[in-house]
Order: sequence, then C-alpha cells, then structure tokens
Amino acid sequence: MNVRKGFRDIVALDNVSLEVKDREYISIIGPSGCGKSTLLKCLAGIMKQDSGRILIGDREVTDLPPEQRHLGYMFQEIALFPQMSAWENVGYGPRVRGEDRKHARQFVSQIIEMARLNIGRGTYPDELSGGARQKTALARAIAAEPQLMLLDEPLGALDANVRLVLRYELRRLVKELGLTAIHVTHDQEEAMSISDRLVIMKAGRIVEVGTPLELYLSPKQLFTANFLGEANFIPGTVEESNSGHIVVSVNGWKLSVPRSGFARGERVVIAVRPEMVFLASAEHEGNIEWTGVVTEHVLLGDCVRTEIELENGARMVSQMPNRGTPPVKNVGERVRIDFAPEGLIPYQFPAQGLDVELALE
Amino acid sequence: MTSLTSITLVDVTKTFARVRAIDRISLEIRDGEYVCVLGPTGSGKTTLLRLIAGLTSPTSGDIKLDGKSVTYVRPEDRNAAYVPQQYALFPHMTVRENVAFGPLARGFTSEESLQKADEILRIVRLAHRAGSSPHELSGGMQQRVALARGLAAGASLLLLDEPLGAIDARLRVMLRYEIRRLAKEVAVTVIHVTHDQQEAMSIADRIAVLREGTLAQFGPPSEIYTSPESPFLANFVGGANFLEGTVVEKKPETTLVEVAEGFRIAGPASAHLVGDAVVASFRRERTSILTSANLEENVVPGKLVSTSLLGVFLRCSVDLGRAGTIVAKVPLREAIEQGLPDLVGEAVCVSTNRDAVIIFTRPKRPLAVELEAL
Amino acid sequence: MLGMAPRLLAWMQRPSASSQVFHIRRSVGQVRGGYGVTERARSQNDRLHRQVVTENTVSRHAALFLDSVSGSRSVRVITYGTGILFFLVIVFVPPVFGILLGWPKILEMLSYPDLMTRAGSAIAASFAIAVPVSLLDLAAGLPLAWFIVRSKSAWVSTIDTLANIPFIVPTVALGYSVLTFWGSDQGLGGLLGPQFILSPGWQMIVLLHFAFSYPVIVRVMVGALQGYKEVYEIAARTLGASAFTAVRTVSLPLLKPSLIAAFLLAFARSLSETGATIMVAGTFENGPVFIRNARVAGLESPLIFVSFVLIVTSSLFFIAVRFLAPRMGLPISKVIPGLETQLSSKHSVRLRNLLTFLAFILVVITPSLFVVLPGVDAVADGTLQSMVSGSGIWATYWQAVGLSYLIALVATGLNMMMGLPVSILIARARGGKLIAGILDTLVNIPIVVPSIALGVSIAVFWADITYIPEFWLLVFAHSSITYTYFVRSMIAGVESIPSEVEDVARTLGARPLAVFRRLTLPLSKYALLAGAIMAFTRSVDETGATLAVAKKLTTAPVLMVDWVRGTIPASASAIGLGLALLVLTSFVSLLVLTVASRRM
Repeated sequence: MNVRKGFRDIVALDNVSLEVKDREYISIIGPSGCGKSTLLKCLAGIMKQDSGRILIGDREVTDLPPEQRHLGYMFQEIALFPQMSAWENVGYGPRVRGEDRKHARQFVSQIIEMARLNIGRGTYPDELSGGARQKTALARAIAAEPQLMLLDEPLGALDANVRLVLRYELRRLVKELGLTAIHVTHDQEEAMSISDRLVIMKAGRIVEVGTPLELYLSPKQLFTANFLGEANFIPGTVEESNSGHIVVSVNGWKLSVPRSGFARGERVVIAVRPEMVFLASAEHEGNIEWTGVVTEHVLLGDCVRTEIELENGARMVSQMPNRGTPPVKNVGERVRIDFAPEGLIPYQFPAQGLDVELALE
Repeated sequence: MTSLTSITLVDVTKTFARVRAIDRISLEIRDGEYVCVLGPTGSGKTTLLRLIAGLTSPTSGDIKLDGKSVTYVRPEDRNAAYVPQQYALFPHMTVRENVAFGPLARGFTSEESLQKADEILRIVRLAHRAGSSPHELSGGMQQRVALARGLAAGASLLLLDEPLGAIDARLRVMLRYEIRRLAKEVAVTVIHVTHDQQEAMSIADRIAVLREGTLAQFGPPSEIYTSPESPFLANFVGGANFLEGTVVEKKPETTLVEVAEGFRIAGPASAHLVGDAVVASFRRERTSILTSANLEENVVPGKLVSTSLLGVFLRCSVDLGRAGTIVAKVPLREAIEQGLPDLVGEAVCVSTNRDAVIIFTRPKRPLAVELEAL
Repeated sequence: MLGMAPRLLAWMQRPSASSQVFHIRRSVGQVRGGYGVTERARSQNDRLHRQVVTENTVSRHAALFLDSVSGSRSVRVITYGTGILFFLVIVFVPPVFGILLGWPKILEMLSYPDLMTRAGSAIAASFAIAVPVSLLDLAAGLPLAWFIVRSKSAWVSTIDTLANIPFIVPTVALGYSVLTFWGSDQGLGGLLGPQFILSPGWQMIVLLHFAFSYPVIVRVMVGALQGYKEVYEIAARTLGASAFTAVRTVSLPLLKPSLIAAFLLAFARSLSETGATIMVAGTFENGPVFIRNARVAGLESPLIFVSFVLIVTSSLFFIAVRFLAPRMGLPISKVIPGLETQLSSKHSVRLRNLLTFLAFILVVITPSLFVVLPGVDAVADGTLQSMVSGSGIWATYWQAVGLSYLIALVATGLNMMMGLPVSILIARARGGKLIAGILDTLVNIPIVVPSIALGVSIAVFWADITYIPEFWLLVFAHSSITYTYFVRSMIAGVESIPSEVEDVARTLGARPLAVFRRLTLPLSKYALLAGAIMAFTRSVDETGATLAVAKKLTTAPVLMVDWVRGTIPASASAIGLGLALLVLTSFVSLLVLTVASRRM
C-alpha cells in the first residue's frame, strides 16, 4: 500500500511531495508551524488541500471524506469519547461499520490484549492515566482495521517518562500488525528512535528525507544538522583544498576536515556534534591548538555536558557519555579541545545567514 | 538586587476531599538555590508550589520563609512570585504594563513602576518588545515576560510550574539554560517544577523527587543519579536496567547476585545477606554489548532484539530469556564500529561493571508496578 | 432579549472557558507575521499607557487604601454578604415563597369548582403549549446553529444576525406582528387567500411562542457548538463513521447539557410570556392569560391560586428535567451504515439546510418584521406628528415609556451593584464549593417561574410585611426577573478568565480589590456590558409582572397590550408607531453592544 502525495499549494504547505512505502514507519518532524500537522490532516481528509493528489495504495482518495479513507488517526488531545467506556471506545470502529455485535466484541478484546491494556470493561477514560488513555486511543484506531495509521503528535500531552516507554509500544504494535504509519512530532529523539525513515520539514517544505542514521551522521542540510540532535557550528573559509581533505581557517585557527568538494576561498560552515568534541587538559599534546575556558560543566546523567568559550570567541558544547568516572572540570579551567575528524561536516555558508538557516522557531 | 529567600517546610500535609495530595513533606531550601521539584503527573508538585505561594493552605504543618512562619500569611505578602504553566500573561496589557503590574500593586507610582519594568526588560533582553501584546510573542518570549514580571515585583522567590511545558523539544534544551542563567544573574531562589528528569538534572542545584505526595529523595543531581534510594528513583531519574535475583555469595568488596541459571551480577559490598531477595540495577549507559565474551560475572548472554537511534547513543534491546530484557545505551561511534545495527537477531552478551551496580531489596509490590511502568 | 455573544447565554450549564480572550497558549512559530505591533494596537496601548501614567495622586492613594482594606476578611464578608442578602430578600424569597402568604386565598379557591376547572385547563394549556413548542424549536433551531458554526459559506454572518431579530423585537411588538401576519388580510392571508387567515387562539400562540423561543435555542446551541471540541467528531469520522453517525453517536450526547439548557430556557420563556400572548390569545386561556383576566375582573383568589400552582409546577418541572434528563439516553446504540451515509451526503445536507431556512424565514423572521408595515403607514397619515407633539393618547404613551426606562435603569443598576459580588462568589467558589453550588442553582429560579406569577407573589409578600410604594414594587419585580440574566452573564465572563491569572496577580502583591480592578473587571468588560444590556432590555420588555403588581402605574408594554386589545382605542398606525419606537430602542441597545464588543 503505497501512499503518494502530489503537489500542495497552501500557505502552510508549499508543493509537498512524498512517497511512503508499504509497511514503513516514517516520522515527519520539524519546528512548530512547519506544516507537518497540516500535511497529516490533508492526508486524513480533515483538511482540504488547495491542490494536489493523495493516493493510498492504488486508490485515489483526494476528494474522499475521512470516513472513506480507511485510516487510523491518533490525536495529540487523545480524544477518547468521554461518555463511553474504554472498551466501548475501542469498539466504536466495528460498531459504525455495522458489524455483528458478538464478533465485534471478540475482536475488541483481542486488540485490547494485544495492546497490553489492563483495563476492565467498566472503566471510563477519565479514570485512566495519560499513557493508558493514549494506548486505548491506539487500540481504537487499530480496531477500525485501517490500511494506514496517522499519528499526530500522539505523545505530546504525556509526561516525559511515559513518552519514553510508549513510543516503543507504538512501533511494536504497528509493526506486529503490518501497518504503514506516518507519525508527526516535534520531538526529534522520539522520531529517530522508532522510524524507518525521517522527513524533516521547515516552513511548509520538506528539507530532507532519510533513515535516522543517515540524517544524523551525514545530514545534507544545515537545518537537519541543527534540528536532529545538537550541533556546534563553526564558520570559516577554505584555505587549502586537496583531494580527500580541506583545511579550513577559523579566525586564525586551522581545522583539517576529511571531506572534499569545496574550493579555495569558499566560505563554509562546519557542523560538529557535541559527542565528537573531546576535552583534553591544556597541557596535553594535541594536533589542534584550539583552547578555551570551561564556562559550564554539568552531569546530565547518561552524559556529561561541558560548555567552553574558546579563545577565538566561539562557544563549543561537548557532550561525553558517562562511563562511570566522568572527568571533573571546573568552571574557569583551561582546556584544549579535539575533534573526531569524521564528525566534521562542512557545508556551504548559507546565503541568508547562519541564524536564519538554523532558526528553530 | 533582591534579598534571597530560604524556604522551610515542616511536616506539611495537604488533603483534598480524602486525597492526600501532599503527605508529610519536610524540606529546606537554601537562599539562592535553584531547586527542581521532579515527579510524575499527580505526584503533588503543583500543589506544593501553590502551598509555598500561599494560594492554598496546608491541612497541617508549617511553612517558613526566611525562618519566619508564613502559613497564615496571604500570598500578596509573601514575596513569592508564581509563574503557572501557561504563564498567565495579562492579555489586555502590553509587555511593559504586565511587568510593571507588581510594583504598581505594591504601591509604587506609575513612573517608578514603568522604570523598574524597563530595567528588568533590559535584563531579560526584551526591551525591544516592551510595547507588544502578549499574544504577539513566541512561547520563549512569553516565558521571559512571565519571569520578568515576577522579578520586577521584587520577588525573592520564583515558583515556576513546568515553565518549559509549552515549548518544543529542541527549544526546551536551549531555553532551560537561559532560565537558570537569568536566575543566577539576578540572584533569586527558584523552585522549578517539572516531570522531565533530564531538564532537572541539567539545571538544578538540588532535585526534590516527589512520588504520590511524598518526598522520595532530595539532593544534588549527581547524588540522585549515583545513589538513588529506591528502584523507583533509579528508574525515574536516568533510567536503569533491573534484574531480580538472590544473593548467593558475599565477599569483602563484592556481593554476588544470581539472576538466572548460572548467571551472576557482581555488585559492590552491601548490607544484604546471602539468601535475600534483591534487585540488581545498573544504568543503561553503563551496559556494554559484547559480541563474543567469556561468561564470567557481570556477563550475561542474550539475543539482540532491536536497535534504535537516540542520537548520542544507540539503544540496544537484548532479550536475556527468563531473566528479562536489558537495554544498553552504547555510544554511537562505538556501536557502529562494533557493527551493532547489523547484528539484530544475533546472540550477544551484555556486561556491566561492578561499581555500576546498585543492589536494592526486592520491593513488596511487583517490580513493574513499583517502577510505575505503563 | 438581545442576541449576545453565544457563550453568555449557555447559562443553565457551565460554559467551558472561552478561548476568545486568552490566545496566549500558542506554541512557538505559529504566529505568522504578527511580530510587528499594528497601528491600532499601538494606539490602544498608548491609551492604556497614558491611563496608567496620568493617575493622579489623590485617586492613587484612595485606590491603594481601598485595596489594602479589601484584604481584610471582615470587609470581604460584608461585601459578599450584602450581595447575598440582596439576592435573598429582594430577588429570591418574595417571588418564590411570597405566594404562600396568600394561603387563605388559595384555600378559598377550593370552594369554586367551576373556577377551579377553568384554572386547571389554563395551567394545563400552558404546559401543553410550552413543551411541544420547545421541542419543535430545538429540532428546528439546532440545524441552523450547526450551519452558523460549521459552515464556511459567506452567508453565515447574515444568518447569524438575522437569527437575533426575534430578540431585538420586544415581545409585545412580536405579538402584534404575529397577529397581523397570520391573522389579518395584510399578512400571509392576503397572499394566499382568506381561508389561511387565523383567528386569535392557541394556534397563534403556538406560532408566537415558536418564533420568540427560536433565537434562544440558536444562541445557546451556537455557544455550545463553539465551545465544543470538534476533535471528537473528527475522531469518530476517522474511525469510519459518516458525518451523520458521528454527530448522532458522539457529538449530541456530549452536547446534551446544552440541549437541555436550551430546552429549559425556551420552555421557561413560553410559560412565562404574557404581553404578546394576551394579544394573540383571543378567548383562549393559558396560565398568564387567566391570571390577567382574573386581575381585570378583580378576583383575588383565582389569581393567587393559579400563581401558586404555576410557581410550584414550573419549579418542579425545572428540577425534574435538570436532574433526570442528563441520565436519559439518546437513541445512539444502533447504527445503520448504509442509511446514515446517505443522510450525510451532500444532497441530504442541502435538503436539510433548505428546510431549516424555510422554517426560519417563514415562521420566525417574516412575522417578526411585520411590525414595520403599520409603522410605515403611520408616517403617511399624520400619526407621527401627534406622537411627537404628545397629544391625545400619546401623552400617556410618553409617560409609560418614561416609566419603563426609569424602572429598567434602577433595576439594572441595583442588579449590577448587588449582583457583581454574587457572580464572583459563584464563579470562583469563594466561601466554599457548597455555598457556590447552592447559589448557582438558586440564581436560576426567578427565570423559571412565570413572570406574572412572580409579580403576584411579590405583591402578596410585601403587602403582608409592609407598605411599599408601587414604583418600588415594580422595581423589585423587575430586579427579580432580570437578575438572572445579569448574573449568568457575569459568571460566564469571570469564568472565562483562567483563575491562574488572579493567582499570579496575588503573588505579585495585588490585594483582592486591586485584582478585581485591574484584571477581573477589564477582562470581563464585555460580559458586564452584555449582562447589563440584557437585563435592561428584558425589563423594558416585561409585561406579566407589571400587570400583576401595578394598579395605578402603567409601563409601555402594558399600554401597548391595552391598545391592541382595544381596551384603549388606538388606530393601527398609532399601534405600529408606538411599537416601532420600542423596537428602535432595543435595536439601539444591540448596536451599542456590537460596537462595544468590537472594540474590546
């Protein structure tokens, strides 16, 4: 069941075209207002696009109302019907299709068990926790036997720790049932951890599409590098350009980057993720003279995060996994930083300026 | 600029219609401290904040600010500014008027109040938006106005209720440091309520973890992370793996726990005795995956079920058979070097270090319930 | 009654917090291009700024003093206490319990079996008309409300405004309009033929009551639909339910409280309306008509007896519906997919809309506007000059109009002053949830009771206690009747302000009065104004209670009833003109409100 979308011409969505493969779990992520929710709503038929076509499988659904598109939809507000019990909610899909009562009840209890929902028949939505409610909403959507699952910020209203667990449940159920899923969220970690592919959107357009690993390790767009995970950005100019590596000059300091494709004199921006920034004490011998002073040093739990103000004025963030004996650095301490060479990704310096290109809101 | 406030709660309880929202909490917050109150929804965090603000009175117990009991003092006399989750900016006033509200209410003239407002707006870097209406501002800016409003009123204590709740995930990371920086620059005591443990870990001087109305633990982030006092805390702050087992041997520096047939986890010396039912827990980021290993202590075999990308880490889920499932957070570079993404479905071993293991007495409730899993 | 912002009229059921005033919760990035301060906003802000700056020292010190005093517990008790006292002594007890003081007269009735039968059928008639009419109104008004809220057509605002017309037109004018439209050869009869002319009687009453209760339903349901989260319906549709099924099985059950509230409001109006009903009743009698006839005939006991029964039965009915109806299910279990898909199709929708508009125009709008015709004649035949010069019948007319407005002004003023503390007490549950809850229910009661019975009760009460000048009796009666309108509007307004706003203000150092002055009042300005205007127009329109209470004084609507019934001879054009003025003032009030709301 392929899903293909044609061009769209709303202010919120600017000629978006996307193809999703059968049984794929894709996430669409982007800052608020980028159009991801609008896209999902057009797909569902809740909103009408100005132009363009939508196909689910081989069916053209462009002009069909939502009830005829055979989808399952999950809402950020959860939207369980308050006047019905949880079981009745799940049974709503079969009921409106006119299915036989007994058969429907069996089906419903199968789904509820599959979703690992431990709730009694008489329980009402307001008696359930946020996570249980959203799981019930998921069961309800599944019980309608959809071809395609659309999830609109399904975890947005839940506590952080509930989100962490529920996201994997979402993927498990979708994969177990062999469904195709399109999941919209602003939480990039959530998207990275459960998707087969990611779609990054900004201001109504698709910026980049790829697998999580691809987009994280070698993002083709600056915005992707900033939006997916964190990154340090170092503007500079290419001093030497050889085959296989270039040397970039940054405020007098030099950086050897093992990439090619840039000419001498070109302005570039190097993106480097905080986990690729290593700290050595100031006296340690290294092949890079990048030194600075520690301005912030925090134990985050699984990582240690250090902020350094470099002598050339730039700010660097380093984030190292906590292996049990994290080195303690004091604020004000002088350090030397080292980069993992494969973590340096160069880009052309953006025409409209770095801040605009990277803007998250 | 403002005098700092210390806060003391002595055995405070708050009951709403037979439900104990806050159950006998005592704690002391030093002046100038940035304290995060962390807990799941419904644990009583907002109630605690409202009690300190004076918006509701405790059913029993005493609340002191700067050593003086304020339990019966009205909110307007307490100097503790409350910033609710949706900021509650006054929509019919401009940014400047919002910020000037506090001084005006306390009796300053309008000129003085506006001057004070301008001063604070400069500090939060919103002077250029002083004439805007609240709804024209972005979420991050609205939050700064809410903070500015509290500061301008001369508050020496800021009570923030999930200040980053309405903000996008990526921005949250940036803005949280801003709030802390501002608080320290202006030198106020802050109580910041959140359900996001990463947020609390990254900016708090100390974290008070609430669970069902009681104080589970109160201490600096590193302490809660390294020495959690219960499995719930180990799981809630930082996440951990848990293996149920029995103590089989005790050596001077080691306690050996058998978690499945023949497999043992070695932890540090503990007060438990041989035969005790325990839970061995270790952090996911302290768990490694070995593609081939000798089966010694702290090495347990299993099957790599799935991998998923978290960014800095690759999250690997390993099925240990009867012993349960383990999650290992392996730094991404290492994981790729090991070729883990392609090893899904293969047999691997998980291992951890002795000093990374914390041994808890097995709780009376089933572990899943105790950890408040879904 | 005027057409108000919808949320103000959903009054027997708590309206959900309106999102109109608070659009702050908007996540980052959704504000498109709104970062610049527009010129209008800037000048508004400058105005407010200047207001703040030019506070002079005397008023500032006075304000600060009052603010600090307001914090004290005793001051607060006095403020709320006075409000509650006023409510009980003036608004609640006399109308509801006063009738009991006429117990001897009630017993006396039992010895007149003929009168009893007549009284009984009058009361039964009241209910027999009110219940079906209200249900019909619900069935006809709901689709229109749906159209107004959900349709994207350009006609929506026109229809919305038109739906208010029966509100704008005072009921006495509406009564005359219906009389001429359905019952004379200038109206529908003239077009279709003499056999279509109705004579005054119960059919006309039904048409009349349908017309004036219709906008109530529409306004309440529009408010409810606007507050209703469409996401539930959308969720149902994504699960495969056709539009019709989704509405039937999900939305209507969730809207049940509003449906019940709308029904009760329409019912109360039908039961209570007196002036227009008298005009079109002919020889038929329902409760209010019977009471008026008894009063005209000078008979005390039937008057008191029927009032008593009406008070008791209407209160019981109200309580029964309020508490039982929510438990009643709607037919929602069975679903017939095929049929319901058909019903959701574009054709069905168009047909439904067509029928709705037809009923709307034919039965509601056209009759309401018919009052314009005689008024137009009046300009032609010189009646206008006599009106302006105040000669002949016009002398009493201007006196009556003046009196109506004076009473309305005083009653509204009293209600505003005394109703404000009570509104806040209910909206914010000060003094505890129990007291607030009880007051909340009690505050609704004066509307439930038919106004004429209310008037009788008040007259009996005060007659027994002490002598009160007739003017003040009228003020008390009008106060009682309009109190609920003001208070419900205020409660909705205050409730739409998130309580966190006040919490924050207090922690910033503001005392209760400062919070009220600076926040609550400015943010509920619209509700205050709307409530006041609703109360004012209702008072000007009030006939029943006036008839019951007044022996010497006459208000404008009462005069108009006399003119129409012929008790006082007046030409058709005089009637038309007299009514037109009343319509005009209502219209002006609505205009004031619309203009004011745009600027807020």
